[in-house]
Amino acid sequence: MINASEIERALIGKLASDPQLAALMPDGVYWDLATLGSEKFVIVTLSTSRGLAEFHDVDTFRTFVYLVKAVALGTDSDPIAPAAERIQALLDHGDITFPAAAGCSLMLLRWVDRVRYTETAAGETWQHRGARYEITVTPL
Amino acid sequence: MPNKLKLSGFSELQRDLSTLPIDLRAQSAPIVTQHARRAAELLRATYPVVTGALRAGVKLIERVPRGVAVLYTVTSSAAHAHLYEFGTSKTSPRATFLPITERERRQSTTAVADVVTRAGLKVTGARD
Repeated sequence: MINASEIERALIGKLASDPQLAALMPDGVYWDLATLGSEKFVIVTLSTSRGLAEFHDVDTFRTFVYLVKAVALGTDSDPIAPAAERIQALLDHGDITFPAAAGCSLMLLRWVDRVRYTETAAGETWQHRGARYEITVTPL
Repeated sequence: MPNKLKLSGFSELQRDLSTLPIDLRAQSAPIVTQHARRAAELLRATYPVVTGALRAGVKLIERVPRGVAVLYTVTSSAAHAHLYEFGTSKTSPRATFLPITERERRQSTTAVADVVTRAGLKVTGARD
């Protein structure tokens, strides 16, 4: 059985263990929501998912599309631009090692589409920059 | 013995090919319309109502057809629709527009591909 939580844990682990990304986004990598007070961080969240059952209703593969974005307080393009670049360098056609508990192996990891916008709230400006990435896996 | 290949029925084939797009369009248009409408309905049903802007911002626009194409655009035009979809610095993303529209588009493409296949043509390539 494919365990999506383990896939997501592996994805976050890959991003969080990269020293270059950690230097740019020192407040960490989070699922959905960062801890209060964070000013430079990475958010990972599920955007869409689908499966393809081909034989006897057994999944041949599953695709998960994750939004992975850097979020930073301020208007400077540094460190948000290099952080988004680093995320792409790590993920686009990159590799992820899944634990056995994930129950699957990686078929494809790739950039899907870009996400970039600016948020203004309570007199502060936040920048969000990253992309959606597709992870396609096949059961072991 | 000389090789001989006799081909016939070209006029019938030519006639069938010339009408094929029109026939396929007639069969496919309701499918595309149905999925476009369902995407808009699902979005309106899924978005929460606080000010009502998200729900009111869902638009279904039928585009002027080009050739045999049937075109619809589903938009989420509220000013904060992207903040809802992708999150803010203090709120988590709530993927809504992309999962719904991508699923309906995929199902529409598959259904139209089935129509084309039933008409005797071969469909290749990704369907999403």
